[in-house]
Amino acid sequence: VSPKDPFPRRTATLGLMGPWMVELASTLPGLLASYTRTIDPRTRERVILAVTEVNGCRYCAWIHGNWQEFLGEGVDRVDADEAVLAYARACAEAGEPLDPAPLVDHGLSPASVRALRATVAQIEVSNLVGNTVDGLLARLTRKRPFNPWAAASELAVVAAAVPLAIPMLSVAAGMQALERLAPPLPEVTMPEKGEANLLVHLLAAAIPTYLSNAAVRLAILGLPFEVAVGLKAGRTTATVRVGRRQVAVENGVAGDALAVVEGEVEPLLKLASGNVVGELRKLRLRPT
Amino acid sequence: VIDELRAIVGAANVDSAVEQYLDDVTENPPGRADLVVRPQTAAEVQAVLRLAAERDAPVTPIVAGFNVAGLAIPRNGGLVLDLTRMDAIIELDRDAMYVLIEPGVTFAQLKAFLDTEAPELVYTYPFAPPTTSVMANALLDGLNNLSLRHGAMGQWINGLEAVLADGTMVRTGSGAVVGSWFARAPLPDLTGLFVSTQGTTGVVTKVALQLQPRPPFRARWFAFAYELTAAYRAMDALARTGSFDDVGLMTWPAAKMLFGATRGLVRADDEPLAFLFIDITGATEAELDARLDLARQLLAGSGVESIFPVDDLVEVVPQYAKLAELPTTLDFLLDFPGGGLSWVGSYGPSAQWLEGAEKGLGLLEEHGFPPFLVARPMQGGHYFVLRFVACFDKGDPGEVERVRTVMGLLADLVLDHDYVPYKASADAARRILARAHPGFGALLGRVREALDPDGRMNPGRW
Repeated sequence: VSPKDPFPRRTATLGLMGPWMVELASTLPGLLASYTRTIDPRTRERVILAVTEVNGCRYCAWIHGNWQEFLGEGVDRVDADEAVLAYARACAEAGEPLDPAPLVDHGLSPASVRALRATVAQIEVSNLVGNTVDGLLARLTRKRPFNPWAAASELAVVAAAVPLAIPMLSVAAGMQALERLAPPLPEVTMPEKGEANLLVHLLAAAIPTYLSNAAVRLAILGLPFEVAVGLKAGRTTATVRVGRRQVAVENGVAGDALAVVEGEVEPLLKLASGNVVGELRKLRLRPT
Repeated sequence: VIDELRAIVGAANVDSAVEQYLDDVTENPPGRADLVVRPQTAAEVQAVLRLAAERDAPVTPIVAGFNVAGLAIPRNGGLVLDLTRMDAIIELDRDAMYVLIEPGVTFAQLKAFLDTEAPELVYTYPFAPPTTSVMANALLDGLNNLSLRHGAMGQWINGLEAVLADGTMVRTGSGAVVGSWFARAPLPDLTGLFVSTQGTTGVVTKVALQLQPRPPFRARWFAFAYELTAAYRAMDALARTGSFDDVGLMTWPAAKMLFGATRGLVRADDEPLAFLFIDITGATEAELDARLDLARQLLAGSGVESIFPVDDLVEVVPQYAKLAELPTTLDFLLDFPGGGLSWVGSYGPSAQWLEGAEKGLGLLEEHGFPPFLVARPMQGGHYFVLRFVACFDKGDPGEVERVRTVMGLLADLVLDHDYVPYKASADAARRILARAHPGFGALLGRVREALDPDGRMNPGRW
């Protein structure tokens, strides 16, 4: 904090934004990939919140906090996350993109590294812009010295960001609403452990992850009637019953199953990791 | 005697409270002992053994006691020699790729040490708790997760230092002659006197073990086999390429026990009979990719299905890390109500594996136990493992007797199929000797007569 300007956060100046804009431009395909595949969306949100925590942007914290709650906890990826989060925090603290060697050393693929670099750059830019809003408000309310030239440039930054910020804030508000409406995850009922087949065990373990997303939980558990869907992974079959705020898994394809989802074990597992778009294509749906 | 022992190892390291040493997880009956002694140096071991020789006291060495064959249960009273305090990693040679360790070094300790001090090297780890002894596993010729490439663990020993029953200290391997423990060759192979002899020839105080390079690229898969034939074909095909680090098999009860199932285990009609664990590495990404392609082809050609990365499974079902990352806690076996665990593990020719496996699984079921089998091709497929596992309630005498019966029958069954039990229990050892060529028994007898004429070293074994 400068004695001349007590505003305690970094804002969007040319000097601070420059390196991140260059980084973002050089990893732009990675940014797109981070929202469709390549990295787990929960990991992406944890990275975003880690950077935001360092930079102190309350708008980004609100948007991505809601996003994270909407996605739910998901699978435990603590080990993988630690290296990634450490890199993201280090970048945020340095105020510039750092050598991604720690990510490579951790065994992440080049595509994942690119996606993470892009994620960090994108949220850095967002944080600086968000902080600029508060900086401008602080000038207007005389909590920091009023400098017309600085205020004008901050106003320009804010105006440029508004078209993107308003949809983001709206999406976050929607996610918050869905998260509040979605029923809590019930205990998954299943046959005795010794009798449940391997697919039933896998599904029972994976269902909390599948249903951690608030929209999915609302759509599936919120059904006013029970729906049975068969699953066939390899040769092994199971039936999942959902609706009326309950979930049950049983051996075999039940006679009242509406349809059977067929595929291999791998896409079922990857679905639980959040890679929905990529993996759904590997599954087939057929009527019973 | 107590005072003399205290003078050797210190008062705190001699104890008449021996209860914890008299029993283990198996069906073997409890033993008896008079004192436990906990030496910290080879010189102390030497002094204790000299004293034991003077007093004609039996000596039973132990570290973790987790051999699952009752091999460290003292049978004739006397001293229990608890070697856990001898836990030094004495030497690491990164060029010759070996480590020289004491008996009390555990798998967790060695793994942590190598990860820090020599991350380019790796040892090999068993389907056993991390607190177990690296040295005991090697001396008992166990199998680990690089045994497909490099064979049973006795072959990993480059040499050792041991104290004989009369207190004589001996050395074997290159370290007996020069300053480096690089190999057993080209000397007379005296190391074998201490491998699989279960502590009857002396107390090993140092062992030099081979390390292997750690390839930078790695993938781990699970795959399902719905028939034993497909599983066998896959293991055999993968082993014979020489391209894979590990191929292991477990039958379906293991999968359910990982989810906390204990009794009433039933296999659904459409469930896999077994799952295979395949560990694949490469010095480069291209080498790894080529091996992955080869594995896919061989598995598909063998009729094995549903191949998927272990890491994906572990993310969703963390319990599976207990199979994927060795050493492992084994709590899914050891938490069985009543705490009993026993197995007959054996090495034998691949040609007899399928019939032996089918009959052994049948025997387990006939005696009321789930058909739990662990298997692996060894040393490039030169031989295979058949290990039949039973969890049981140690507090139920009827169940203990059933385990005893079925383990005896399984030992005979594997021998009928040219498989030989490793870490042979006293009962299995009797069955082995009954079938052995007379010359084998005669030579073993002469060796023991020479090294332990009074039969005081780990009595009750062989």
